Amino acid sequence: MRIFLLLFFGLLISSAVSAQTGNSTPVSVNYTSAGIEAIVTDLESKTNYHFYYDKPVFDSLKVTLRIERQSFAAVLEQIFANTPYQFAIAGTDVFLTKGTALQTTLVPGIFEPVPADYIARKAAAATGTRKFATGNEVVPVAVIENKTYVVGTRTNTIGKGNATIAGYIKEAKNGEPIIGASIYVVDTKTSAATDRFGYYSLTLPKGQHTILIKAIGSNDTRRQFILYADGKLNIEMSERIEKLREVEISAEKVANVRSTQMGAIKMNIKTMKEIPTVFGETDVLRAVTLLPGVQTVGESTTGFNVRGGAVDQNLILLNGATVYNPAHFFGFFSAFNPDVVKDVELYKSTIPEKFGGRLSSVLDVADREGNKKKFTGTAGIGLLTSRASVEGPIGSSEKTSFIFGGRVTYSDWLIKSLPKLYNKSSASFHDLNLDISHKFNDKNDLYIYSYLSKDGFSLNDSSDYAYGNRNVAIKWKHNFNNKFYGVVSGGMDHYNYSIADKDNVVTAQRIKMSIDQSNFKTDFTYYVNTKHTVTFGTSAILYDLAPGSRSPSTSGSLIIPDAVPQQKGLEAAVYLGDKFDVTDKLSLSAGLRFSGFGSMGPAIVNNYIPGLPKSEATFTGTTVYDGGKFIKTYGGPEVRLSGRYTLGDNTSIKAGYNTMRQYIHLLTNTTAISPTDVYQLSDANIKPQYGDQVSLGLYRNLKANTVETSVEVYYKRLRDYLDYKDGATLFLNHNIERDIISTTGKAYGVEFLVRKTAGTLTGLASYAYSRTFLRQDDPMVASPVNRGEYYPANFDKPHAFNFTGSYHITHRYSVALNMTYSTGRPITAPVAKYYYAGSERVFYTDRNAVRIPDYFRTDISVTFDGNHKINQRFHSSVTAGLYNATGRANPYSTFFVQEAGRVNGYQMSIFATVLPFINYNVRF
Amino acid sequence: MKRTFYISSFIIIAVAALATCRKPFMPDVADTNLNVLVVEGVINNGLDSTIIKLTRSMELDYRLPSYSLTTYIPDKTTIKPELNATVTVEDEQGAIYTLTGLGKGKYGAPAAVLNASKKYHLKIVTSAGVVYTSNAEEVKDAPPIDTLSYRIGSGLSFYANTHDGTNKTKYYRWEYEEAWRFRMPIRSMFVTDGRQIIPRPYSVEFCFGHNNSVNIMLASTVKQTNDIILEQPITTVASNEEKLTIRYSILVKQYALSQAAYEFWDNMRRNTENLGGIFDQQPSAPVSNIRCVTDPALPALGFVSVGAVRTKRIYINKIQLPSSWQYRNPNTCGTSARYIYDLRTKTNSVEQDLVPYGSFDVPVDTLSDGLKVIGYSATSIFCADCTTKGVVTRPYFWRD
Repeated sequence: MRIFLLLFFGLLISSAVSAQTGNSTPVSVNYTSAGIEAIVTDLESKTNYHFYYDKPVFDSLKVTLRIERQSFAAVLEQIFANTPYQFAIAGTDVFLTKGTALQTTLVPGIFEPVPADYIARKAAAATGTRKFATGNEVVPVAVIENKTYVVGTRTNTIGKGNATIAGYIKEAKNGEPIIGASIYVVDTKTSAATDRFGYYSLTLPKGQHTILIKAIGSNDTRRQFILYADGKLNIEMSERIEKLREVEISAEKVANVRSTQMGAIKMNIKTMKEIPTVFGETDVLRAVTLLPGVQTVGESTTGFNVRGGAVDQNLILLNGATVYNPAHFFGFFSAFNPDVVKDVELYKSTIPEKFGGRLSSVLDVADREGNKKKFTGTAGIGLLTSRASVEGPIGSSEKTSFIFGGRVTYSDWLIKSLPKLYNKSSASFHDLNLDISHKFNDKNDLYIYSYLSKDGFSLNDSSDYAYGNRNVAIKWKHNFNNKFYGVVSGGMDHYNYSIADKDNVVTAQRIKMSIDQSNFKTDFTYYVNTKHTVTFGTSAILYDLAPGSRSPSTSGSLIIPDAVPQQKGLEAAVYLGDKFDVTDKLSLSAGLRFSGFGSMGPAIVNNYIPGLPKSEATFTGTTVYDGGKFIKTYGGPEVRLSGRYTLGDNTSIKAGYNTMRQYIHLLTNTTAISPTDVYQLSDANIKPQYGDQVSLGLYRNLKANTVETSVEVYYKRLRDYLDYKDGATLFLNHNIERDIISTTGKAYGVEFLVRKTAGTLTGLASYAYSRTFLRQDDPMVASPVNRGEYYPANFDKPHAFNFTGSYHITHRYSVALNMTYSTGRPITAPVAKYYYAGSERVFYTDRNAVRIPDYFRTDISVTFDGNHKINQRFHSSVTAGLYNATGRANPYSTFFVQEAGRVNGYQMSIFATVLPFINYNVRF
Repeated sequence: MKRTFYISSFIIIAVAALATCRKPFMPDVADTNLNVLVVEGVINNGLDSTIIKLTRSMELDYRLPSYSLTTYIPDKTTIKPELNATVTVEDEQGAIYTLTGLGKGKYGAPAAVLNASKKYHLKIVTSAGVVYTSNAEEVKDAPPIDTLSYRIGSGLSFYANTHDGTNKTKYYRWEYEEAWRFRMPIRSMFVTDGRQIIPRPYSVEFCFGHNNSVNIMLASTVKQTNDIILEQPITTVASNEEKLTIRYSILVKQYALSQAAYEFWDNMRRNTENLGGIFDQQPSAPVSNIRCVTDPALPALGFVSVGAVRTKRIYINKIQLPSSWQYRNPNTCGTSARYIYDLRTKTNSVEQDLVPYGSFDVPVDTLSDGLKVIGYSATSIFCADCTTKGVVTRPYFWRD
């Protein structure tokens, strides 16, 4: 404490008397096994510097060194090189310490006002620096704001030209990488963002730089360094503890305006946790559906529609692994454990060239990396589900960590209490995540992700329904050098479902579907220079699909086994992209992905008369293909273009054009995804789907980046979208191509988004006007739906408004409100009856010409946080609320039945009443 | 804690019980005000008269009891005929002939031979002056039905066999009309005229029943190298049906279709069988070849094909069928007595039970005390009066 005061005043004096600085005359020294006293005496005699140090600490120092005419700082630098000792220079005072260097400057802001160039000037004046060797040893961890770090091998003079600085930005507390942190270089006004490993790379002119770093959930910070040559600098940021003043997504805010990416929205788990949900469980997918341009057909449906795309046109990735069914309990819960998820990013217009294979969107869900420093955990108890997660280091080197999360439901007690009709039912699900990350050294990191989910549902003991996802992914990241790194990843994804029907002994059957895919990917990023960042890579997916089988499920069953033959296919892609910062204002991103797909044997392929509709009538025979042979290949380029032009600091205009190809399809001709929908690969008779989209957006951040606004318009075309003949049966259909009508579609809309990310009121409001139309313009179809004219898609809901906001009354209490409104989705309803060919028949309107009533729902929740003491062992919070607070009976589905000679229409509502919920969460 | 849990679980149970609810739903279709003109029939080439039936669609009222969709025999009141329209058959140059109104929305013209190299269409001008027209269709004559075969299995099944040596027909449709003679278990000699019992002017013991096909029967030979239809199933009459008690006749009509017509019928066949459920597929309306000229927005439904319709009729007598095939009348048919002066009730039960029109009991024969009529034996109208389910008049085609 006394030393601190001493230093404090010493600094005051030294900065007040700015003229009094050490002389800059070169120094020559010649030591042989010199101790600290000898060195200090020698240097004090040759210069006007005065040394402060603790003598016993330095008793092991022996220096043998000969230097001719170098700067004082350079001399010190070499004396203490490769020793644990540090020095710091303040004016004419030199402080010697062991371990950490003393800070010789104060945090700016203590003595307001701070001159704008204070940091730079001060740092430049303080030549006391710490030298870091380059190579494969320890990379400096820049923890202190006002310390000037050295990057690259220190030289006497700063060279000309550019050098690259790269490294990881991590959270100080647990060593977790910070994804999407933005780095802004003050003097050159350039910026960069960390990738999904927390890695950044900047090419800058050699010399002194100050960078500002902003990231979600972390305190904004700055670092100073002198860039001598290419080098590494890892940065640790401290977590923002004080919850209520957090500037949640400042990184994204800057990114929002500055990146070339359009229609990409990132939500971190903290934001999602503030949104009230059914049963109080934070729901990743439900949060996503609040975003403009994202819609669902109804509550408790699996999947969502992005900008007029079908449900199967979304690529849902969990740490890079494809999750085919992202929902539990038929859509009541999303399959992602909120305790393990770090954030989700939804790409709906500019899809980076490294992604492909789906037309509409990519939902990239990323898990957190386990705490590398200590063991922590969370637990949540809800009425229907409980969850827990544990994370921590493996070993003591802070190199390896794990995170494990699990969820389980115990809803059976609820079902048991239902009326007799249902009380023999049971439902259960669980999911497990286990992720391990290991840092071999500064150049090599390994990540292992695994995910398992299982759902079981039994209705009245008569039919058992089960489905599950299994995913394993391994990623190896290698940094070749500061400017160039690559990620090699591989994995296996599995999804299956089975329905066993055992009610009737004779008809007892089991139906099954499963999909397996193995993927291998390489992704490389090369920071060419300040203007160009090049990405390139390859990807291969091998599909093995069992599209459906039926077998007797009991010994007495008379069911004839049937199975649609296994389908195999290989999807491969190469891509190359360049982000080109033309000027500070104009930035362009151009990418080309060439994707191809080959349908593989063994298979028996149906042949049809060319130029005629595929039907039993035009069927000419089959061709047998052997295993491993390509039956039919498709492929083509996919263009990913986007550009950004900034208008002032807070405003930008962006435009993008995207083309996509899709080779795997979900066969569904029902409004909601039905439990027996199966997947299908493109083959000789089923063409891949193709889509392109052009979009334009205006982005503006207000109020010091705390309010983020955007308007985006888009126009999208779909080709070879799969629609089906009326009345087609899709399950166990051996000739599915006969029932497929290739359809084109168009979607357009305008999306408004306002996000407030700081203050006592945070949240978002979005409105989208969007239309989606499909058209069966296949000339081979004799009677296309609606005479071949455009008709609205099932999920065409023109007006959609979402509001979610949370208001922090005090630091410990907050209230959240959700409001969702959308136009009712279209249905096809019988509207008249007529008599024809001996029967009375019902007349349907054109497809989807009638709409069900509008959807409106309000949810309210209140969160009580425990106290905010950081060092408390347990942090707990209780969330209680009302789902559908207005109790409106929103129709989920409608159907028409004949009852006692009348045609009656009914609407089914799920959650047609106020649904209270309560959840208890604890973090330790 | 336990207590809180109990309370919250109670809430959840209450909620779950209410959560999924079913409420009436009336699609908002009032503004569509559908009044579809339904056109049914074929412009017949040469062999038979052309009959076109014009009706209007009816509102599907979700609230009021409406006509049952399970029963295929239409209630007369549910058919809304389009009357007083002018129906003309035209070719590309203009009118060929005009059909005359036959009542009940039917319009007919005697057989006329068409020019096979021309296209024909129907022009309909409603009494309100709205003009509809069908697409010009090529003359597509159905080939003759080679044979109409039958097979005795669990019932009596009929099959049509046909072929087109020119391989041009490819798309076929069939309809059938069945007729049969049947007999009532009890012969009633008397009838009421509303005031008294009089001898029947004609017998109602034997009648002819009549029925038309209700299902759409289609076939295509596109996948075949030769245009041959072998054993197209037409219908199966169950072994215990009254149709087979004396003599049964079936007339099969064979139509040739264009591909568009085939799609129309195929769509109608698939879409009008059931109504939408939760996971049901999207229904749709068939694509007609009728459109409104004066206002293209006015809907019309139907597919008017052009060409010769081929028919074939066969008869099956009871003797040709297994003797074990028996019809069982669902009514227990016996007689009971009605007296002019009933000693027990001291009333005139003839007057009460048999004289009023619409009575379900009919007089069978007189009861006499040896001197005068003291009453009548009576039975259920369903045991003695065949006009309850048929007609006495012999159909014009009927051959014994």
